[in-house]
Amino acid sequence: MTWNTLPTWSNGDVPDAADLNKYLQNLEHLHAPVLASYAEPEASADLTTTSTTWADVGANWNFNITTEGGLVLVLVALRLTNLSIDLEIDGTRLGEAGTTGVGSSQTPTGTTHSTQVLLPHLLVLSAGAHTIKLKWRTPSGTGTITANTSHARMYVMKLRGG
Amino acid sequence: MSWTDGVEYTAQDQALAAVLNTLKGNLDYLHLPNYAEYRHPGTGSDYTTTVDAGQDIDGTNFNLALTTYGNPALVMAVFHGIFNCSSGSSSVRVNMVNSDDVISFAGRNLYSNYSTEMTENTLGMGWIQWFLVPPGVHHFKAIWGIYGGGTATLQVKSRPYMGVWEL
Repeated sequence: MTWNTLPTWSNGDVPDAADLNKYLQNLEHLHAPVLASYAEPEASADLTTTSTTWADVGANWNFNITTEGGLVLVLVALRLTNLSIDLEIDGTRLGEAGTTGVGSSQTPTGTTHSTQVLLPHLLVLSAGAHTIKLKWRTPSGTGTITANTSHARMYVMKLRGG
Repeated sequence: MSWTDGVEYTAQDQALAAVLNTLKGNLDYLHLPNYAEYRHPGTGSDYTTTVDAGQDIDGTNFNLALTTYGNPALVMAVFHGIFNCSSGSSSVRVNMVNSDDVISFAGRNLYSNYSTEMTENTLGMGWIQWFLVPPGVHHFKAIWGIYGGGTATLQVKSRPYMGVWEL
């Protein structure tokens, strides 16, 4: 359901059926929940990477959405080990230019822990097509998103139709 | 954007331009409600604190003003960033508060009233809160403290982010 840009009315204007139907379509647009999501199946193999540069986690974690100028809420819930993660919006990562990312299992001194991450982020996107990706890198060795015992998942929600 | 209380029709009324424009404005507000956000640029010194009571993380930037119209309005608040604490016997305790609300402001007592907690071994990154508020302007702050001594750090390289919006 698309979102209509409604006209501004002046006294004496007479709306026709097509005009009023746009109001109804906008109400339906607001009412319809719009959610894209992915969750690793229960007890699936852990996701691992040896990439020390930022890379896509995988096709399941890429979301192509079309927005109507509204708000988009992204929620990521993962358990990380020896790993940094980031969100990429239309080819640009949210994190700083270096290697930190917006989430990491590394302390500033380089110590690695297993870390449960909840990453909530509000996006204000222009109307049109957008691509949202989960990215990852490891400082060295193998980085892991636990999927075997922890429910790895990502939601992209167009709030009130987006 | 704003919300305007609607005009009620009575029998035999014709739809006037003002009514249709109010309806348009309200639909537009529902589609894109008021929001406020801050995303740190990722450069400069990390945020630190050694205090165990709730301190502003950044009283200027992680202090978001939001005008709401719902009566009451439900406000959703999100925060993420990489926190650390200097000792395994300590914990970083964080919260978001509505600084205009005396009850919520009590959430600054981080000994017994906090939203999430991070230790040296559990680097925390994000949490979500909701606030029920009357119509008007409200200010939402991120606060923190460290329990058990030591230093709490919020890494600016993680580009800490806070957002609030009317649901």
